[in-house]
Amino acid sequence: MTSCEEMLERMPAIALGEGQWTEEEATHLAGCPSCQAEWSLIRSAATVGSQAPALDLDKTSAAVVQRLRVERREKRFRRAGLLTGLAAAAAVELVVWSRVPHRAERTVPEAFRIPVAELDSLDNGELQSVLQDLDAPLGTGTLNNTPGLGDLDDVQLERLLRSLEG
Amino acid sequence: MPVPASPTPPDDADLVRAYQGGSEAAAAELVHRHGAPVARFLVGLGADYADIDDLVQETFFRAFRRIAGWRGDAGFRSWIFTIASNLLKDEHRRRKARRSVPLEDHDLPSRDNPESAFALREIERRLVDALQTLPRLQREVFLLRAQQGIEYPEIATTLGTTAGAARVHFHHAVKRLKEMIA
Repeated sequence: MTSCEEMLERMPAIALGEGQWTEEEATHLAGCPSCQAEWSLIRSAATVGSQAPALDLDKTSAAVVQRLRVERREKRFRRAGLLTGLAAAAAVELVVWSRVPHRAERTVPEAFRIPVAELDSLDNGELQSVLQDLDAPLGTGTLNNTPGLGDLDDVQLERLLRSLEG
Repeated sequence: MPVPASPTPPDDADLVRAYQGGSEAAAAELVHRHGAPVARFLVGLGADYADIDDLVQETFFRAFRRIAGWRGDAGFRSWIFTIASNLLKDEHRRRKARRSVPLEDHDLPSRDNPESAFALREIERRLVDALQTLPRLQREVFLLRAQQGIEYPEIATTLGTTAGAARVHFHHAVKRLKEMIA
């Protein structure tokens, strides 16, 4: 025996013309007010929108295709614009970079030139001598000609010890 | 890329692939194939007749823009319906106007001649109005099942639910609509 639930499950297909009631179902429908109400509802639902003015599908599809075409074109332009922008930015960067002095060529700004007090007081000859010592290999400079403790006589040694003790 | 030539008409998946390969003809064919059902579905969801042209066009435009989102697990038509439904929801939100006509006694169709065209139009109008009072999921399940004849498993895939839940939504919708319209 067909139940009301089974009847409801069958209704959409039959309302859309995809099937027919069996004899048993037709008998059930004829004697069941609840199923009749549902059948009326489902039949109405199957035709909802059928009263609407027919679409001009040629026009609709042409409009859709045209909009897609325009969007594709805009996307291409945007991409091309982005690439042009990147190329321009790279060119500007290259120009700026080529004008900036490289590390080896850079001069020390005035603000960073720190005077060395001990050297300021030397005359040209003394300064030249210091610079020569700095340039000379270790152990060969004139600064190493300074006499050692063994070269001092007693008086000089005594004076040095006193100066160290304060 | 041209629409593939085959003895049987290309299915939706073939047309989608052809469109992705650059065929505008494939896109046009998909609009021809599914435009009318989409229009009827939109009417069922409460769209005004005057807006249908624009809504159908916008639905397909959005669909083709995000065509990669259709992976073929649900039918192309069902997938389009979800886009149409989201579009209409956006429109309703934008307009802040929801069409809802209270049901009155004089709206009841003539019981003497229920098959008359006038009665059918009235039933349709009242049904559409009643549908707008249902929760969205119930409304969509009802329309997909009763208006479009889609089976529960595909409805479930389309709406992101289970076939069992879709069936329950359908039965609840029928019960509530019957109470409102009968």
